[in-house]
Amino acid sequence: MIAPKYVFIVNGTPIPVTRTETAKKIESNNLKLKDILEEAKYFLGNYNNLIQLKGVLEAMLPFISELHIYEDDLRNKINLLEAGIASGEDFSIRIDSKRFSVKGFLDMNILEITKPVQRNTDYGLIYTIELSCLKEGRVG
Amino acid sequence: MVSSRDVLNYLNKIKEFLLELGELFFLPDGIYIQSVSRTLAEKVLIFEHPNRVVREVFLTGPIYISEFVRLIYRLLHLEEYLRRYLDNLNARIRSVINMELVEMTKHVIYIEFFLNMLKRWFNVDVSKKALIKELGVSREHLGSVLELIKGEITNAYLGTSHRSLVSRILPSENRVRVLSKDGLLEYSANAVSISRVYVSLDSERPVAGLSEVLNWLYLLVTANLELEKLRNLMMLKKELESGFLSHDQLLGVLAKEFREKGFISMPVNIGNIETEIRLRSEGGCVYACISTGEYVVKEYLGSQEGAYVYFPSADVCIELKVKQLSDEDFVVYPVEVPVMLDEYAHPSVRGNKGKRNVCLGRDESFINKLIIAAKDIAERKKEKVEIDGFTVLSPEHALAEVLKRVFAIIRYGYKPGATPYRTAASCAGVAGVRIIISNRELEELRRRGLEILE
Repeated sequence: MIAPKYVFIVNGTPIPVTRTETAKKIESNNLKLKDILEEAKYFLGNYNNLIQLKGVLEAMLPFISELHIYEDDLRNKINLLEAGIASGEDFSIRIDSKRFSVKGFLDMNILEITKPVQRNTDYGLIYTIELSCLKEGRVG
Repeated sequence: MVSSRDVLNYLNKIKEFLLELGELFFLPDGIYIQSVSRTLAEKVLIFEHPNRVVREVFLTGPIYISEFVRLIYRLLHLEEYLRRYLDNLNARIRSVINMELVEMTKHVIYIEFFLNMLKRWFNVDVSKKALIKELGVSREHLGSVLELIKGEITNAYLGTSHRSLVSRILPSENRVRVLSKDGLLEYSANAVSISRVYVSLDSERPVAGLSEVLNWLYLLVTANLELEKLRNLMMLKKELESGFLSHDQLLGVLAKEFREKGFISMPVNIGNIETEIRLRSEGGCVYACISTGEYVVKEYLGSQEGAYVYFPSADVCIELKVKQLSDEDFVVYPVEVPVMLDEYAHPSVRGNKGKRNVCLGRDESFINKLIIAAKDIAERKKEKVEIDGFTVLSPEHALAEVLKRVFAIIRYGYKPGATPYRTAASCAGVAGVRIIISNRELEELRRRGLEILE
């Protein structure tokens, strides 16, 4: 476990990167959607311990206004992502205003589409990788 | 208001302060007091009769008269008076707005709900400070508050007129004035150097009694108070005019805007797409609406397959309800499935006019559950409700999720596998929906940043 230098932001919800293996993937320029999902699940599963680590809360605070709903909110995002990946349709990912269908996106290297953005927050310097997921549905 | 007893009290305090200082020496450049050290003294006044020195007074200074007045201002604790004045003014500003709020209580409840939803679930925080221009709120609604402040500014400005008394207190060139318990006396003076001044005792003339000087100083102090008021009032006026409001004021302004225009709009971002969310009043009902934004869809059905169809922005609306619970709390929640109210044609709606349900396909059941969950949480004060792996945390959360889902379905849900009421191309000719006839037009729309959904 590491003090987070990177933070994923999925639909506005921050996920501090606390696992060395995920940080290494970012640093070796090879990150996929499932890596973000795995990191999010790990963070949610170990939330109460990880939040005690120095730098974790600090990495989240610039992006959230209410901490008490964080776990439910993150769980919703994880479920949304998992449902989208499982169905493989009616679900899109957006990065920097580019829209991708989830099917085509699964094997893509996210860092070929976007780069970590350096942010100087009140709590120090961090790097964010931001994406949006949208369940699109179908009319009828 | 300062009572006559307060004034007497203030005058006594000024008198005590002055007598404690001993003699005060008024020179054209400011006020001097006796120095306890000859070495550190700035000036020496040599009081003399012709050829006979009576006394030498070593002085420290000068204190500018404005500084001296501010000293007395602090001594009289007038900052506290100013604070009470500003608190009172704030209450009056609120009462101006609240008179209007009395008629608009119901709207204010909806607006507070709406703002909470924007803050928590769309990351749009308009509750702390908001730039009214960005909210599309017209400045004229601030009129009554601005009028009140302008009146206060005029009064404060008039109160500063006593500043001219400075010229009565300070002497002209080659004169020195001395204030003691006997009053203010003036002498002619001859400065042989910057630090050495000869004062002729024979030229002594009384300028004013001590009580008159106390009155002058008191008036100067009140002028200083009015200057401080003026500074605060002008800052407040500037803030209001440039559109910054506190939360309470914002609610009032938005409620008035809502009542007069029938809607308020806020820009939001959904999945990197800029759009707007509105609170709308229609036929006696209040709706939360999301604007679909403009976009282009490639037709995949029927004889026009392959054609590009332009859809202008349209509102999809969800009716809201306010209810007073048995504990007298008011709650707001969405009560109906999404509908369209304006004239518009889209594959997901039957008909072009009137209130029409939006067909949400397989998501309809989930959206219905969200609406039921919102009511459940609001009325039974539940902390959260689980539906199909989704945790609903508040009525605002449920509404935000419905708006986001509806936005996505309307915009992106016309695609192979959908079961629309009609084709996209057949919507053309209604309320600005049209088939794009040339590549040039399509490229122009693409350049404008419109999404072309193929």
